[in-house]
Amino acid sequence: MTISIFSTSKLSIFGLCVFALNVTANPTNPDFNALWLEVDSFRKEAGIQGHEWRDTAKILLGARKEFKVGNNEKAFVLLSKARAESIAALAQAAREKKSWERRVIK
Amino acid sequence: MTEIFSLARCRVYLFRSIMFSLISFSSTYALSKGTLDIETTRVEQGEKLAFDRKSGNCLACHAIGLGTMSGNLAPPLFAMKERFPNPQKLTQQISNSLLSNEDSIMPPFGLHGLLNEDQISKIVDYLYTL
Amino acid sequence: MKKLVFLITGLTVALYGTILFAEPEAEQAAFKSYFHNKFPDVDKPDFINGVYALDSNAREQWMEIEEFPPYEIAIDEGEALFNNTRFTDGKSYSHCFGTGQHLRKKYPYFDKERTQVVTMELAINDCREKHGAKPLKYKIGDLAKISAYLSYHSRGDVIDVIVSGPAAIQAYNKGKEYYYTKRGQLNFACVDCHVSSAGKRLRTEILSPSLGHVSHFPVYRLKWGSIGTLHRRFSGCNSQVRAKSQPGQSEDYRNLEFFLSYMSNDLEFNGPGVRR
Repeated sequence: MTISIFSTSKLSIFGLCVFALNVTANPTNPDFNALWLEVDSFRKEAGIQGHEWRDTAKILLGARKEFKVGNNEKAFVLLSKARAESIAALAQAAREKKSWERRVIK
Repeated sequence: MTEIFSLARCRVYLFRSIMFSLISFSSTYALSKGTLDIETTRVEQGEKLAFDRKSGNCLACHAIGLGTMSGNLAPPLFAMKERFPNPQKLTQQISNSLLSNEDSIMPPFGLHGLLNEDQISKIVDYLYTL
Repeated sequence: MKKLVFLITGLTVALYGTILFAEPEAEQAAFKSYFHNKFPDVDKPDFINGVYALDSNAREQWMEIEEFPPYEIAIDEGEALFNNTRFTDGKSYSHCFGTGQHLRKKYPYFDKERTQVVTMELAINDCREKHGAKPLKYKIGDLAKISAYLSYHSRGDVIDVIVSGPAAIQAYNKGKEYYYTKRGQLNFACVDCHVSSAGKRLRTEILSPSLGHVSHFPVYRLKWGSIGTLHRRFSGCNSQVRAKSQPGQSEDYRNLEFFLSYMSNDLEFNGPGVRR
């Protein structure tokens, strides 16, 4: 269904994300590695901005491990958790760019 | 013949009515008991989630009910129905405290994936018993 | 006309300079008076004792521990390391630090040539590397012990961090931003626990005030069962709010130490300390 909406050439990040979030979609999705790399790039970006969370890297490693031993469903659950964490961390970074200064004791 | 017939009918009728009342009674009983069970467990589960260090850990900052070793960083939680007459408001405060105050020191439990919707709603159910 | 332009430029530079320099000073005054007003019963110099300045029960327990302080072994071991270490070039720590007395008060400082904050722990490893030795771990072990020894022989000296010049102010500002920024899954900034909530309880632990935070490090923490540096504590705080912690002596941590130390100027160094 996702593929029918997007042409193959336009099967973009969004399409892949829909797969990542829909854990029951297709656990044998061969695009796991692509998705994993994308989430990892979100994590790294949060890190560059000083906002990476404590466990995101661990969760991502866990996802890869599960995928390797064939627990695809669990792998996708972990992957979407890591994705949610990275995106929330990036949102936090954006919020804090403006907010921190308000708290300075004057 | 009529008698026998009527007797048989009567038996069948009686049997049916007894069975029916039995079934209906037991099912009503089961239903009410079941709802009661679910309600008790929701509140109980909510309390457990609120107290547990690895989930809500609300006791870290709030004094709550019979919880021990509670912190006093944030206001004690009691009379919640009076303080939060609107359950949505209470749910929002737990799920995303930043909506009411961006500098709030209360973690945004829902927004940051610390608790899911179901867990928060159980905690809210528990908090309204206080 | 030329003169006028000159004058205006000169005035602008002077004014800009005053604003730049005035800000840290004003912020330091505001920071201190916040705590002085919040805890009027605490003697101002007593803030170096953290939670034990605020809570008499905790203070009593702490005084008992201080009778046989668990950091004493670290001081002795640190002394031996400081005096007996010979680098491959035959030199020792005294080549960099003299006798090692009254050293703590020199740090942290802003090194204008390196354009970065230099802490005492960084200087110890700089000395090692200069003389061909491998750097030590920054959070635990031998470096923390040497730091304990040096801090012990600087007790009573006064914190006197200087923030002057645009580059130093920039480092100060970065440290300030780090301090006030919410981080991690729990969304806490340093300020959230150690300013308005200082003196309150998180579960059974009393939260320490930021004023005087840096004075007593390194500390022997009963929770750790060993001595650790200030940056070990920073990373512990990060991890508690579920933010990714940084390596010891990262730029952020050094800037944070610079900012925090400046906030505590005029208080005495009293390290090493013991904490729960």
